[in-house]
Amino acid sequence: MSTILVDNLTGKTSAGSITVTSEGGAATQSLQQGLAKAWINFEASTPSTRDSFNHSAITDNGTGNFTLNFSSAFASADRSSTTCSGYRTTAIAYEMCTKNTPTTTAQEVWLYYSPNGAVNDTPGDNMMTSQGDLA
Amino acid sequence: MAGTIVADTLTHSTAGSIATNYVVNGSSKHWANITNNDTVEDSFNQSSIVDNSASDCTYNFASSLSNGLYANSFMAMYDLTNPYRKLGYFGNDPSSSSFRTQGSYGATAATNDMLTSTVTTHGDLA
Repeated sequence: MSTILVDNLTGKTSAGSITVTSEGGAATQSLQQGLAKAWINFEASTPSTRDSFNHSAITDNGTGNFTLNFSSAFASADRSSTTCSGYRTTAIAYEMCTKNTPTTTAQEVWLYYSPNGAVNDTPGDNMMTSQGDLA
Repeated sequence: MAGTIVADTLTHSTAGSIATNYVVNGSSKHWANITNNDTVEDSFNQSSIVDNSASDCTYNFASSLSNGLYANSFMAMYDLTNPYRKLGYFGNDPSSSSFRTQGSYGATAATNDMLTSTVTTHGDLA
């Protein structure tokens, strides 16, 4: 088994592009573009961050409405952020969606009760993962 | 000429180690941000989208996945005032080369184009 000890990976031909071979060996793909650039698991009632990567403090804008701020900005607001929400102790369906137009530094979201769309601060586990290019 | 490194593990001086199969298997294989069901704002490993009809969109991969059993996640924005909107699979089963979604909103799950739809795909490439 081989191990590389390294703090930084930089493309040789293009600094921001390292290519990896696909699982099946039929294709190659950009390493940087495939990596998640941010993820967060937060609790909504306080709110507080349980764990995260490349996220700074959460802004509480009101009931069921939060701004999830990034530590390092994206190059464009046209990233792909996807979400999941849940209630830890009761089988109640919640969802999380985009509220306002995203910016390069933040994603504003709504939490809502799935059956009727009522915004709510209750969900215990709220997760978002963001893909895209960092600035 | 660009060099190639063959390795099983990457080790950072402080942040720990990761087996390179996690890098390959754990990286997303496709993502996209589209508006109004017909305009691609940004994407990765996507050749095109097809606006089948209002709310109904097919995403085509540039490089195929190894099968249709990958993991997709979605998020949608219908407008700036209605918090109740979602994307889900629609029509055909996902295939190694494409998948199809439908956007809906409101308590009756009315179908319509979403202002913004974001999708991410994890799985194995062919």
